[in-house]
Amino acid sequence: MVFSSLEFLFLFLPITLIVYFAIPRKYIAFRNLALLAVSLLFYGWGEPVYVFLMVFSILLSYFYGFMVGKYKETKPKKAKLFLILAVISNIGLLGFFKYTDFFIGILDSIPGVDIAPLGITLPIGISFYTFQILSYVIDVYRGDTAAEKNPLTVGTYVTLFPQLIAGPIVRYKDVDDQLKEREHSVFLFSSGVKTFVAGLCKKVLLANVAAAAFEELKALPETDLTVLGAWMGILFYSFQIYFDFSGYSDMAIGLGKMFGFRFLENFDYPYISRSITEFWRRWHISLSTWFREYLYFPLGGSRVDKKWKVFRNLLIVWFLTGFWHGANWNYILWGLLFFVFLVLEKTFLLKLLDKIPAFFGHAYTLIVVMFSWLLFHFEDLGAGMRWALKMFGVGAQVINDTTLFALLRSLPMIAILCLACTPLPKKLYYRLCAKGALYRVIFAVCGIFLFLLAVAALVSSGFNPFIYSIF
Amino acid sequence: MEKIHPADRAANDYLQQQRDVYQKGKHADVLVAVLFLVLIFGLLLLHVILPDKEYSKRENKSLASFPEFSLSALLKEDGEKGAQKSLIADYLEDQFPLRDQFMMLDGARQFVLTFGQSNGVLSLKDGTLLPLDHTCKEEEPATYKVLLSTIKAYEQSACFTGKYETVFALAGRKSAFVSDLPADYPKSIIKHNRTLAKSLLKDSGCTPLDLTTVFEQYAAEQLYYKSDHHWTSLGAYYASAEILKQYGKELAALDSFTKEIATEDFSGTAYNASGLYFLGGEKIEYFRYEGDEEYTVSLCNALGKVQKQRKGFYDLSALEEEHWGTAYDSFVSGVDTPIVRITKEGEERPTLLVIKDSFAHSALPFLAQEFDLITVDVRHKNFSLPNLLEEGEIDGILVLMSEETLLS
Repeated sequence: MVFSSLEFLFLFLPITLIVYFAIPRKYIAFRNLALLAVSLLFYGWGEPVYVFLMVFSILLSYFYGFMVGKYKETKPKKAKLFLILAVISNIGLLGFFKYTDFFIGILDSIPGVDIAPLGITLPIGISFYTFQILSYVIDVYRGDTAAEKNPLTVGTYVTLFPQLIAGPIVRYKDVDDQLKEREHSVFLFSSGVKTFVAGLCKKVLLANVAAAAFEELKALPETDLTVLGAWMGILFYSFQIYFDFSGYSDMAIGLGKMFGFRFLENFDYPYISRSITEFWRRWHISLSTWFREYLYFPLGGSRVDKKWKVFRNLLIVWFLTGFWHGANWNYILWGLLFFVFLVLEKTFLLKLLDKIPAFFGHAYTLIVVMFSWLLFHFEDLGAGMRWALKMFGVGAQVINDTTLFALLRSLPMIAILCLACTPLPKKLYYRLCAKGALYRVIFAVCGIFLFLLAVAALVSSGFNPFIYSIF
Repeated sequence: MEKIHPADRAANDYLQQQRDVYQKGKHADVLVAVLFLVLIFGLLLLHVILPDKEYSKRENKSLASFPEFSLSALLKEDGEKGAQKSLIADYLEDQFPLRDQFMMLDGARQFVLTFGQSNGVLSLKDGTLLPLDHTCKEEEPATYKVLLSTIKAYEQSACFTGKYETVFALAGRKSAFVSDLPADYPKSIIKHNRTLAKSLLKDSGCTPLDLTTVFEQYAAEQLYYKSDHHWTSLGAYYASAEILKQYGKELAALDSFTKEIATEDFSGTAYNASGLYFLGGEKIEYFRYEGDEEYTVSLCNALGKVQKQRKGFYDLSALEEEHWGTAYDSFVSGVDTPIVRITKEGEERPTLLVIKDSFAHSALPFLAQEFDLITVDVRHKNFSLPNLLEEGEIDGILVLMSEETLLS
């Protein structure tokens, strides 16, 4: 089930709110239990079989966390052994379900080897919840948090439906206190509603519209795709992936607040970045944080004696970041593309970008990011390459009337999408809110009107893709 | 001191900003939360209270009913055909309270943001709703292949006398005859599809009749409905006159017909798709002539068995609110009838087999002046019909369909 669906908004959410708030505030354990139950239902709705796999993973991680906690002080080697087992078993499950067919494909391409792919269906959200489970065991090992005695609390942490399918990846140490005691207030609830509605509108009114525009261009006969059309297509996809994922993250954060949880921000206007380094500080923050804390730093990060070791560490992190996104070469290349630019920036480019007007930094970042989405989107590298060549006029007209029509009719939407990528609307909101109650009420009514527009779009169209649901 | 992660800081800053707004006045925040809750609970309650509908007149669409529960459907993956969750999602979408109003709201949103476009339909200044054209990617579309094999099957069967050559009359697209087509409209698509259709027409082995060329001389008149993709009775009249000419026959003059307004509230398929339900309806006219009620119209199933029979061409029940379909269905039959026979009692006349789409429906009253008619819909792929007909029963074959159907 996805948040941007009628069954979630008008069936799952109202019932969950009733169940959750019917339990008195002092019985936090029962509220957690209620959350665990509805979260399993939420997951089981889309994955009726794999829900058992998730429960198995939770029990396993509870056991490992418990053992690591037990031996951490007295028998550190044994604690380390359980940590390693936890990592192997969780990465093993992720590897089996996500990467088996990829490796079979590689073996199969060797002359003389003939192995059929297993056709394993990827359990939704496995990449996300595996990282959460690992963060729990590692945090316990590092002493950042105590091992949880109650398996239901670990279960609630892993399955918590707001962040279960597509993050943000919540580190255990960030929410362990909240699992035992959290704020429930009108303020936090209404703040959650506002964040949720903003996310829903991003997803339904912006991402889905951009997705439809991109799909239309993709559906054109290849001979009809013009240079302008190819650029428009990748521009729309850049909008789609940002509003799709950041909208979903906002919905998750908003829902978290409704139930008293505070998650990290996952996106911070990445398209206004002046460098790739800055972009990755603003894009999918919870993932880059996870990789930095649980992989880059343990490898030595940038505090190593030789510069090549920094690059080696970066290479490992970015190879795995790409591979985490999908079991295909395009994702690996996508990760490596960022590695190359981050290395260039570390060596000289950042200094250069600081000296030249900001415009060039913005333009450079956006162009690199847009081309990276080209790699990200086209699992068929040949198709991606053909699209890229069209962008440079190879085998394509500059413009035709079909593309011009699409562009002219999309102009208002492109303007809205561009504006929504910047912090300007938010700044305007707070500035006007500070001016008086009337503005605040007007914004409140506008917010609800936008919610109704999003619902209308869901009722009207079944077109509701969600890119990150496949990860 | 513990270092604060930027994302933590951003989240805290954001929350603090919201808290500041909240503390300046709680009313707006409380209003948002209350309205949100009222909407999600209220619409859920409305959904429970309101009875389910079987059909949406506005959309011309059958609506999903509550799915039966089955374990196998439950275990199917999301998106898989027959999956319980997909069926429930369809049900909720179709039976959502105030569905028409939400559809209209979404249509209006798209209309505003795209300068008049909504759900693939372009709204023009004069109220015309134009379904957007798409380039046909196939050089030999599937319908064309089916059509050729169907014609061949009939021509080779014993029921065909071969008295008349097979005529292929192709109706053009509405976009080719819209007077105020926006300057940015992609005319290359119209041109591409037209060139392809013309070449298919030429290669079909039939006597080609390109009705787009015929219509050019009448372009100033209203040949197509504003809210629908079909031609008007006037368009059907001009088309029929040209078709009959191919058979050496002449259709009565236009002023000999009595124009009868069937409805002034016709909302066609473009209207159904657009969501622009705030637009008004338009009129449908029947071109009546003396004795047109004496024709026998037999509606048959795919096996040629008569299911319903009536006198006269017009099915007035299709004009009623309860009818599932548009008022255009009042011309002879709706699209779901596989075979129709039209005969004139007491007269021995040649019989024309019409392989058609719904464009033919409003032309049949004119064609019936000269021929007994048997119609088969190309979309029903009824190849068994030659076996159902008697030897020598068909004297000629007419293909009458639109470019949209041919290139689909």
